[in-house]
Amino acid sequence: MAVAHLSIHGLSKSYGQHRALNDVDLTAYSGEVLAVLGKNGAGKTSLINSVLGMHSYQTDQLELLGQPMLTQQRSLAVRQRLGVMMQLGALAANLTVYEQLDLFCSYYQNGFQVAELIEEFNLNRIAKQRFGKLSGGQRQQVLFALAVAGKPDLLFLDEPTVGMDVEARHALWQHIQKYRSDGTAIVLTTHYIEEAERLADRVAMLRNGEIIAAGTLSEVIADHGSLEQAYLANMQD
Amino acid sequence: MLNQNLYVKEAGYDLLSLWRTPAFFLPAILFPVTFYIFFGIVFNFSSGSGQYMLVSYACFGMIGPAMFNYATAVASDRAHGWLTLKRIAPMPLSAYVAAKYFSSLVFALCIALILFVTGGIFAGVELYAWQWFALLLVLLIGTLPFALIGLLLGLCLSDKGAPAVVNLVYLPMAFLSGLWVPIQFLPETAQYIAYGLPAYHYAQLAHAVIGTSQGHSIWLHVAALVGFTILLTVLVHWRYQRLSH
Amino acid sequence: MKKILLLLAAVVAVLAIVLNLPTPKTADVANDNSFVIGPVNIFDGEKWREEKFVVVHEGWITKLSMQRPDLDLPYRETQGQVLMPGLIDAHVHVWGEALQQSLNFGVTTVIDMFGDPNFLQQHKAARAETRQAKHADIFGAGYLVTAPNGHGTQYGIPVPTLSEPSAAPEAVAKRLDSGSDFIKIVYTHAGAAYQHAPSISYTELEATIKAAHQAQHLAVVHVADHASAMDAVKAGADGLVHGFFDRPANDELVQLMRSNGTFIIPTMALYEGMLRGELNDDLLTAENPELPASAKASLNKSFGNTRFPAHFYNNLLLTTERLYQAGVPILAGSDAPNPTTAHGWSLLVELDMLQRAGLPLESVLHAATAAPAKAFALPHQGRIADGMKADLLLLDASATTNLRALFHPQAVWKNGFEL
Repeated sequence: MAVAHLSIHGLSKSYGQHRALNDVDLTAYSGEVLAVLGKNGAGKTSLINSVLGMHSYQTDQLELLGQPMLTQQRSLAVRQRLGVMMQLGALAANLTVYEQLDLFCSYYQNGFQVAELIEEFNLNRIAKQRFGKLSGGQRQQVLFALAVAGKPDLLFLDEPTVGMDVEARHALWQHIQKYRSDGTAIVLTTHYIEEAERLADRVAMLRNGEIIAAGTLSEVIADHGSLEQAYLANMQD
Repeated sequence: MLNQNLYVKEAGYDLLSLWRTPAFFLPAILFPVTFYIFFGIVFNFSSGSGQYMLVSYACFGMIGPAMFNYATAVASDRAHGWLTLKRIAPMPLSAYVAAKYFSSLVFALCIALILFVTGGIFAGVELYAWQWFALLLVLLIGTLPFALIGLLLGLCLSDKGAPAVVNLVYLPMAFLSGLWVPIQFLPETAQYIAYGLPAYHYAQLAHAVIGTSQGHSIWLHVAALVGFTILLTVLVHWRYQRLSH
Repeated sequence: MKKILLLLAAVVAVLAIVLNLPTPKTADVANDNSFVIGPVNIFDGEKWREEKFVVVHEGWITKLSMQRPDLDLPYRETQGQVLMPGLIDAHVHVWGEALQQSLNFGVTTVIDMFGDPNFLQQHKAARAETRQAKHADIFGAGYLVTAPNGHGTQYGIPVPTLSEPSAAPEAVAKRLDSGSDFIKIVYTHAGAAYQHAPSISYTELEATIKAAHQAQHLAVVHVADHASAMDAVKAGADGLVHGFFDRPANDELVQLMRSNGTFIIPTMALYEGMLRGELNDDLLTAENPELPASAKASLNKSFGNTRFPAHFYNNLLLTTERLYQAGVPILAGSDAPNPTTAHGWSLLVELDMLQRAGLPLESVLHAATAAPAKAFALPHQGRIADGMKADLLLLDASATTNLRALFHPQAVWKNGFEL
């Protein structure tokens, strides 16, 4: 029985005159991948930041893991069950991958042990390297590992496979699918149509801060023939 | 148990991170030591005795790392988004702050010991064992308000601006509190300004250990420092909340 | 586990370092400050005594006796050397390590004529105690009284200045409040012929001296010429802290000082350095003492290219002689550490100068012991007598006739502890 781990109604965010999000409704269910498609500046980052309470927003309703978020604060208890992968400039550049993961694993009560995490993501080869010395793709792998370190029930992935080579991307997709079948609700922002098509159960399309299309994958594809066509069509109007 | 583990790890890794940045901590340690050797020993033109100058320059040297460690590290963490990721994770903010305080204390401890040894060997400073220990304790514990100043600055400044602004706060404050030239040699207005500076009260407490304070009650200085600490904690808290808006 | 070991190692390291930092040497059990010493030839500050033994109890002199007293105290056996009170330098300026340096030459008390009031306050308590100490006792003026931009304001020290007579009582009160033992004033006569910094007026001088007296404290005056000295004495000064050499003291001045009981600290060592600059070298060569680096530094400084007429030097000696003959109290002061002087050493140079001015040996010794003690009412210093501190100097037996013995003290005691 799928449970809504994320439930948003009427979310809006403005920066001065500019409306970054306008009356957004979104729901993500356990055991499903929700892909949020949109070009840069469409509001994907504002969406994640709002949900995470990183900045102020207005909303009619926002529930995370079944609990209403009445303020911007996200309690420690809620954060124990969240996982986030974001685009970062550089983590603490002079800690090794192992140390980084060790630190993060210590934050979670019910997460991975650091050794398990390294096993899981095959990070042995780069475990002793400093984060600052990793390639773009390797960084993404580590950031993903960090995101799932706590075995989250709700996982946000912001452009997770940018810069990865084909094998790495496929490996990551496999992990995503595994977590999905474990019951995690996954919200994935991407602008790779193929990724969305392959992984998503549900799709939402974001343009200028508004949801212009949402539904199951098949619902959104509808008569357009492919997700790509559907995307282009929706973005036209 | 897990909670303790978290704090220990956070502190340990912060220290490790610092240790791996010799470009940061080496100058940060050498600066006060060099300053002391030059202006506290070799070119000591003022009335300060060896003991007096050691205490003054120890205060000067301890305030620096507390402020810099926080200010530059926090500003940098903010700029690079590292702090964001930690905030999203269930890391209690207190662990982050405490970890940084721990590493700034270790820093400060190193500086204090080096200064003590330098003073003992090159300036003939002689103190009873209880005085050395008491001085060390006062110096270390008293870094708290300055760590908070650093934290506040780190939360407010960009990582490029942080070092410059910290210096702009640190150096004049140290000078006007009588840490370079003993306070009795500064013009009277400076003495009045000093009462409003935490560095002055900090230094007076340290001087009280060797009997060279200006003679005000210790409790006055303690109260001033506690007051500053509370005020700064409130400001830091406020600023931290505002960061999310 | 590894972390705990690391932590433990760190704690041990810290302890190891801190516990090995230098501590002040504590008294050996053997070096107690209670003892009997003798037989010695005692100069008590005024005259030679008949007694041959001195008893010291916890740093205080308790008894002089003819025979060795039968007491259960450590006995320092001597062979008839001279024992005299530790020396008092009546005119110095101290900071930094000065009080320690003075002890090197047996100067156990100093009178500071312009210095940091905080420094003075910090060292006050030690004056009445006999804890082991490595520094001389200090009595001081704190901040001197001078005119705006007057002498004393050129060092960057925030000296409060006097601009009108009615401000004198407050100026005095402030200084006494911050710990001054007496009031020191700088004054130059209005018509003085040489270049000098601005000075307070005669009226202001009078008012300040009066205010000091009303507050039951001494007022001493820095002067640099005969006319200024005359004014100061007329205005009621208790003492002049410098000699002068523009002309020898005339009869009027001599008589006035004598009847007023005004003392003088001629500071001839300083003036010799200024006028001739030979005595230091002569004495250093002849006596070859051990001088610390800082002493050498201040000795080597000079007053620059000032050319004074040769007779100024003679005037200086003549004035001192006349005043001595008239019974005016002469106090020995060096004005260290001004150029050509050094703490401790220069007092000995001053004593040599006093002898050249014609003072007999006992009067020279008196000028550096009981005379300043009496003039400044020092409670426990400057004499060997019951109730005085055991600040003592042991000299070769030839010190009864040869002043130079002072350059090679055999032992110095401060607060009854031998240094």
